[in-house]
Amino acid sequence: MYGLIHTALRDMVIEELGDHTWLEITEVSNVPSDSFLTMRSYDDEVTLALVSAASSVLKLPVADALEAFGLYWMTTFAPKEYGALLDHTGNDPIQFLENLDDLHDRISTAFTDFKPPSFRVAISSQNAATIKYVSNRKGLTPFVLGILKGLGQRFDNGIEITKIEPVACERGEQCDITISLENADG
Amino acid sequence: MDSQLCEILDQLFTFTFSIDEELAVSRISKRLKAQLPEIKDRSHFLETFECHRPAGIHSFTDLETSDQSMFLLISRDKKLALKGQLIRLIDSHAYQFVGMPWLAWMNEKAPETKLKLGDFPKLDSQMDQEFYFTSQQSMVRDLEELNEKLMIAEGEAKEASRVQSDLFAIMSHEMRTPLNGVISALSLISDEDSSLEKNKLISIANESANNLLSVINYTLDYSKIDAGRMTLQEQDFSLSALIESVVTVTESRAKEKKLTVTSRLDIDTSESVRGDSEKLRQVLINIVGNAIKFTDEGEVSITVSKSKGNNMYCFTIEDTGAGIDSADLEKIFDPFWGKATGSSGISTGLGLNIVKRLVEIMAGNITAISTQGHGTTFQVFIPLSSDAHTKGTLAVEERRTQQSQLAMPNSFSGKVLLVDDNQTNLMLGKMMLEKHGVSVRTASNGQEAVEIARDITFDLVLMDISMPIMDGVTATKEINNRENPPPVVALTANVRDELINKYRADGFKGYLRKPLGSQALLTELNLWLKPNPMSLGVTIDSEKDLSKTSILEALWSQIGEENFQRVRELFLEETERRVNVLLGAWVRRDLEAMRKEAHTISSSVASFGCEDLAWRLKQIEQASSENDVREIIKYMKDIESVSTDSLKAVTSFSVTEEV
Ligand code: HEM
Repeated sequence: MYGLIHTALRDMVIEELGDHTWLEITEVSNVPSDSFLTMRSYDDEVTLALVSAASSVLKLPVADALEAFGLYWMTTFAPKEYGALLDHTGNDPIQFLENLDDLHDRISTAFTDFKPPSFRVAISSQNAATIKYVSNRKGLTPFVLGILKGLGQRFDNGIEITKIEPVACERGEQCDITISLENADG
Repeated sequence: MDSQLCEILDQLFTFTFSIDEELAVSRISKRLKAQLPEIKDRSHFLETFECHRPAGIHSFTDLETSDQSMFLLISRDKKLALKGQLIRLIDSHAYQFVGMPWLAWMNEKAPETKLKLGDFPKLDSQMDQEFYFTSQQSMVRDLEELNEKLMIAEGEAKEASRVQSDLFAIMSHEMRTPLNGVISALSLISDEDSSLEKNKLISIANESANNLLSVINYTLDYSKIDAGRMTLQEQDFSLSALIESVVTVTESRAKEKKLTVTSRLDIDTSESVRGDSEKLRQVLINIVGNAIKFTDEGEVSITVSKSKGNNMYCFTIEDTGAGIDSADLEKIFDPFWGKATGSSGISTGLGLNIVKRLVEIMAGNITAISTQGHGTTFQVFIPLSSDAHTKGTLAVEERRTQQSQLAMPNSFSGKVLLVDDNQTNLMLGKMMLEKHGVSVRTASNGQEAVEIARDITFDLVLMDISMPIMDGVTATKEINNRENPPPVVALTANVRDELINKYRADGFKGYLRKPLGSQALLTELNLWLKPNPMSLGVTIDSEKDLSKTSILEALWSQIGEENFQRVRELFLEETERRVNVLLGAWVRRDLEAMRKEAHTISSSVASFGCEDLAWRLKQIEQASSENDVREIIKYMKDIESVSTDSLKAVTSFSVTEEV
């Protein structure tokens, strides 16, 4: 993944747990010190090494660490670094989710090695929707869940994840995530 | 305009409308109406928008002349800005504007107007660019951070290396002082009558001490080079004399192994050259010495040649030894390579690394080629300018180095004037000289020396440098001003390159390191004095079991109880008095006096084994010369108690068992 993701992970640990913990995580992960250049694409193994080092240092299951990271990404890192872009993505959770592919598409023109996920939104009732998540990678669904929770916070509109249904696929990972919105009119 | 076409344009572009010849707008797209409710059918174009680009649009004709331009329009209420172009349809007298939000303007001037990704056509890249620029900024920040980290790490690494070489330098200095004591002591006991067994032990101890000294000197050189403190000392010299001296120095070791050392100079030997002869000599001796070490039969040859057209000299050292395998060949110049065999200092593994560094300091280059089983060839390229005029200036230097390697007589005839302001040193020096059969006069300062030398003709003067009333340099100049002056050799604890060169320029014919070692003393005597016809070749011998011998014991047994008591008394009295003078100077903050006094005391207390005191005094001397009062305080605050303790130890020394 791009260094952008690594720097976000780093910022989260440093902000929430301090330099010392971060130092420990980089030591455990054993990644090279230049693994944090925003616009450089790194092998997914580097990302994986960082995430599993974080999970072992923090004594958290990998899924929990990913979810926490998703939440941080959505509520802190993305607004700080890409605030305008987020603003343009949507005024409410549904609109936002519908524009997510467009958002990642725009990124693709700058990040040529980018392998973005895809999100399809199917609105099932006034305050419920199912999001079809399609990824080239395995194991990142918890990250999506964290981002979705963050999305709820962003719009002051609690998102409840009611169902996660894995979809069989040959490569990567797919699942249908059903959410209900507590406050449908935003 | 065709409404189907309009629909297609609406799908392609966010904002579209037509402008007719009266500049009235029509066919306004839904998304524009949504963003700009004031806009109505037939609104006037220029009343609705300020035309930011192109400038000067007032009429339909103006539009016609600019219809290839990019149009930037800002709504009169300043809530929306558009970016687009005009399309003229073939059969129409109107223009069609097609465009999208002007993102940069909107972000800056009207951030409250909410635009969505969907407001930008896919083919528009403003949003992509915004992401790109933000990322680019982060990237620059990331690189700056990384660079800063690297710089810090680099600084730390440099500092660590500096600290390390400082430590090296300090350690080797500290090791050299007591070792000099051991060597002096060994030389004092070496002439005692002896049994064969003990004789052997002493000779082993002596050899080891000398080897250790050369290791320490190597280390000191190494750290000096490491810290970038080694400088070039250029002078005119003769290459043939230099090569001859390299051959002579290394020959004795070659002979032991039944090897020959040959040399050939393919250059004009009548010409002298200019360069750092000392470093070049050190380099060549080291390489030739190594070659001898790794060669079991055959020869080691040295060839000197010069490239045409420039002043690059090539020194080729070839041996017929075992050779070095190619893997090792890559590493031989690395520091600490070759924990190899041998007891010589050269095998510390610093040897070739120092050689390479010395060569580099001389702006030269060194290479090695080798085939296993067929010997090794080293080539050293050094630029030497050849516009020199003086010839034979190094004659004495050459003789000195040659002789130091040969068996030497140990007894001489002649008169020697020994000059030192430290009475203890005077007495000890006198004893050592008298051992070698010469008659000795002493003087305690330059003035006295000049006067004595006026009345008596000496064969050799040994002159301390820093002395009261008149220093050694001035005295030497005065002596040299006379007709047929005796050779004057400097006695000095300072043997830094630049100082030695300065002494030479001041008229000294050589130098001896303090405290005096008997080997060096012999070499110097041999250079200037006639050997006694009855003299025997030097053998190193003594009765002492070294492991039990302290410097004081060595002294005691060398000069006998009675003499020992006398020197000791003098030493105790002199040291106590001088320490008091030092304290007085400190009270007055007379740093120059302190420097001189500390210098004088330190040279004799070392001979009496008071190493801690000697070391402190050296620090005080150094700090005084640098006006570093804080450093002086550090060592002065307990100088009195340290000296009292040291003197007590010397006072209470007695030989308990017969040695
Ligand atoms: C400003 C906003 C965002 C930016 C700049 C952004 C950028 C990125 C980048 C650089 C990656 C790494 C992919 C790679 O290197 O191949 C990524 C992955 C990902 N993004 Fe986003 N993203 C944003 C918002 C979101 C949001 C709101 C979601 C909501 C769910 C999301 C979901 C994901 C997921 C799940 C991945 C993991 C890749 C995968 O599943 O294969 N992103 N994003």
